[in-house]
Amino acid sequence: MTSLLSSHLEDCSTSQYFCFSVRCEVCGEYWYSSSIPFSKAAQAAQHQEKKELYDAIYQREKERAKLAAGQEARERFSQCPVCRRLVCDACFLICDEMDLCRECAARMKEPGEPVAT
Amino acid sequence: MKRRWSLLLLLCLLLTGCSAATSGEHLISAAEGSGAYSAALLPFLPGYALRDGEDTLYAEVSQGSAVTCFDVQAIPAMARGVGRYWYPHVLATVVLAVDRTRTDAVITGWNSLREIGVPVGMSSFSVVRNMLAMGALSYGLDPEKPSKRDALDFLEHLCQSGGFELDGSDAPVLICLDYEAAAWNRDGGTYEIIVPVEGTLSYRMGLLSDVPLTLDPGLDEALLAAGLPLEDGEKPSGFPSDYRSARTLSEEDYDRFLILTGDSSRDLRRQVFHTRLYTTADMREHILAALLITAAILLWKGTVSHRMVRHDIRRVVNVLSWLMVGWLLLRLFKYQLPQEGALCRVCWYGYYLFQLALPVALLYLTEILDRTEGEKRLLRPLWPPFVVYVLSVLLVMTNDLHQLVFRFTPGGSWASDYCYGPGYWIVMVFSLLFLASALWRLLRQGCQSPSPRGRFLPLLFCTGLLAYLAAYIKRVPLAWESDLTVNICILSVLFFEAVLHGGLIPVNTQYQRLFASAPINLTLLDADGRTVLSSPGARPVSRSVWQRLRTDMQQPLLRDRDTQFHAVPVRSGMAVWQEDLSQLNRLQKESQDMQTRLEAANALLREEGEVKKRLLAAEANRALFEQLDRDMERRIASLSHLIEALPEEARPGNLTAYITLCLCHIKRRCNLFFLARQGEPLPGDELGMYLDELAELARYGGLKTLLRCGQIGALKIRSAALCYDFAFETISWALREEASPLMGYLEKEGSQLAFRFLPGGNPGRWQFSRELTAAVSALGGQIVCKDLDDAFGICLTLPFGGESSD
Repeated sequence: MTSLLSSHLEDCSTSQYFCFSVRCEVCGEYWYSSSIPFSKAAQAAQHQEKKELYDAIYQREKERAKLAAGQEARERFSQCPVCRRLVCDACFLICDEMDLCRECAARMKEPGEPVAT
Repeated sequence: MKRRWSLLLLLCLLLTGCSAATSGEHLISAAEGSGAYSAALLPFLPGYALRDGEDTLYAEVSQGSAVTCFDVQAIPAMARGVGRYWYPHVLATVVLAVDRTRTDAVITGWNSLREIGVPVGMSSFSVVRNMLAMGALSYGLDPEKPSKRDALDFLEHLCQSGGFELDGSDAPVLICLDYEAAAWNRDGGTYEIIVPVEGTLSYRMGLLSDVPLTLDPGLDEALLAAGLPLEDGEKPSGFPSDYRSARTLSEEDYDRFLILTGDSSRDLRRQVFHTRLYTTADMREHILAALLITAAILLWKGTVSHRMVRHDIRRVVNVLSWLMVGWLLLRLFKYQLPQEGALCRVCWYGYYLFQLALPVALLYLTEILDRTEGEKRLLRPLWPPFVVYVLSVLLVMTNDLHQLVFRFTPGGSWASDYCYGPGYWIVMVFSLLFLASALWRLLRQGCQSPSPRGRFLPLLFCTGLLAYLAAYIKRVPLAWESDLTVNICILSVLFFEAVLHGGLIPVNTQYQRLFASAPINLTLLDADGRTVLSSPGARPVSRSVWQRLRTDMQQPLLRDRDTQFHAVPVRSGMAVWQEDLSQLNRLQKESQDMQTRLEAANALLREEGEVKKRLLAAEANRALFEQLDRDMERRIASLSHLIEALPEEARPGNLTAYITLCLCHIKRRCNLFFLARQGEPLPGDELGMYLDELAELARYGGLKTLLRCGQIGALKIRSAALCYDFAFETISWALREEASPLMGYLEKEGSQLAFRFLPGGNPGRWQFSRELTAAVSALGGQIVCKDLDDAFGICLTLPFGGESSD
């Protein structure tokens, strides 16, 4: 699941903050992780001579932010056991037999309630 | 949010938990008129102390006290789980006490009161006594089907005919309890006690307790000695002898009795005395009305806050609302205090904390109306009213120390027996001054308003306020009898609404319509990300999207592949509009599809071109070879005949040389053929080399040949081919005719190319091939044989640059 989420994380970061998005493969809506500001955002603009150093720090913090975003996304996304797609909580239904994505549940005529509305 | 809940909790504690939780063994004289009974009873309850009720009867019982009350209170209470032990001792009957010193009217019962024209009164105006009297009257007027309506109509008739008073203890005829009248007579009164012949009710008076009581013996005698009739019917002297028309209630009658007599105080006020028609008439209505108005004010606050654009005005609305709510809740709290103690008085003083603040708040509102939000100089003129307000509140709250505001006797009945001191009038003058100032500002700003409604509504409000004041002074019931607190709250609200609807305050009431009809998908979010307004087509903004937009509004954000969010900050939130990318995405996809199709078509066309090219090349080759075949066919056929004839030839050497010459000619013609296809010119030197080759081969056949080529430069292939063919045919003829020697010279003469031969024989019989002569003619040239006296010349002339102009 973590590796699946990592592969689905899209980078929306800027030079000021780190943010990642995941797209639900059923409804198509994007979910955005909490934005984490780059610790050197202000200094990086003032000290161009330290660009290389700040780039390294940026990359390191970005990796951490990506891990955090993956953890955050894990609480909101599930993998459908049938179609193996990554779906958001609104599209993931708690069914009697097995929890399924909305489309698979409809195809199999399985009633269920969404994890979140 | 936490602060709000804390305030609410504090309020609940104030309203619910402030009563003293007294416990211990007390005898409470709860029922009015039970004082004599309690006093007689006390010696027979060892360990109990007599005390006035501080709370309701039911609360006192639940706190362990023994409470004196009537059966109509005790039995229903026990049925509902309050009190477990009931000890009835005294039988009290509702009777008519007629003061014979003041009237000698013949009175036998209820109906006789209709005709005597004498004022009738109740001996007490307490709620319980009203219930007892109303019950007796109802049962008396119609013992079979008692109804409250009959009793009320009866009392209304009395009120209209001769007068009826609730607290009419000095009336000639009193509706009272029999032991009360007997006591008055024992004290020197001259009351005739009449048990109404139509019927009346006798109530048991006794003790209600949660614990079993042990009464010392001798109580009955003590009660009789105190002038109280016993529960079993035994009566002391001074009571009527005939109680046949009186009945007591049985177990099953109490519920019906409560229905009959419920809300008696309210009904007496409204239906008998026609008072309290426009305000609350009993405690239940006081509480319900206070809660209802509080809820309405809070609702109004919510709607107005929602409509407001300016934050400072929204704050004024909040202050106004909480002042009104605080006032109402404080009043509600005071209603529930059982005694007129210090706390009750502080609550009374506390009213002015809210009441005096309202004009100041309204003045502040009118002050900020024509100023921009956040203007600092606004604060200066508002200091004096605020200071006056604080001083006024301090003056009122410290009234117990100086009695300047309200004057009453300390320890006396301050709630009903007080007068206003100079402090009160000073406070009121200032308060009215602030109110008048606020009204004046409202009117002035209304007059300056460009809209007719802005001018009309403040005027209407002021007119309405003056009408109310006039009605109040004139004691018009609608104004005089209505609740002053509620009226002040309503006036404050109306003041604000007049300002609001007059257009003096910018509001956003049209935003709903604007958003409802907006073609753009726009959403307004508050500071917490909640949707405030949204156009119909706008899709909801999720929490994660809101958080990301809050971080960086410059960067648009994709909701999904067809929707993009853009945001701009607004005060206390953001405006988010959604751009529909579906059209763009569709166009982009169509463009990509078109590009793919075009690329495929281009590849197909390219392939087709190459195929066509290859086909054309093959076709050209085929045509070329066909032309070459046609060109060479005659020569090859002729060569084949020569080769076949070679064995029979007498001089095979000459024929072999001729065959070789022919082969050479064929080879060079092929060269020239292909060079012609390439479109390249033939250098003069190379043509000279070809001619030398022919001359060399002719020498093998015994023909002495000398050919020279002048400086002619590059020749067109066609001209070169004709020159070469001309040389070949000339050499062939000379070889066959042995016209040796043969000399030839190719040169350029002006615009002509001239190729001359001088053979060693007469070329008169020689004919050049038709193909050659035709080709030369076609090119504009000619072949001429000339007799030069001692020699013959053959000359080929051709235009140098190609075809001649003629």
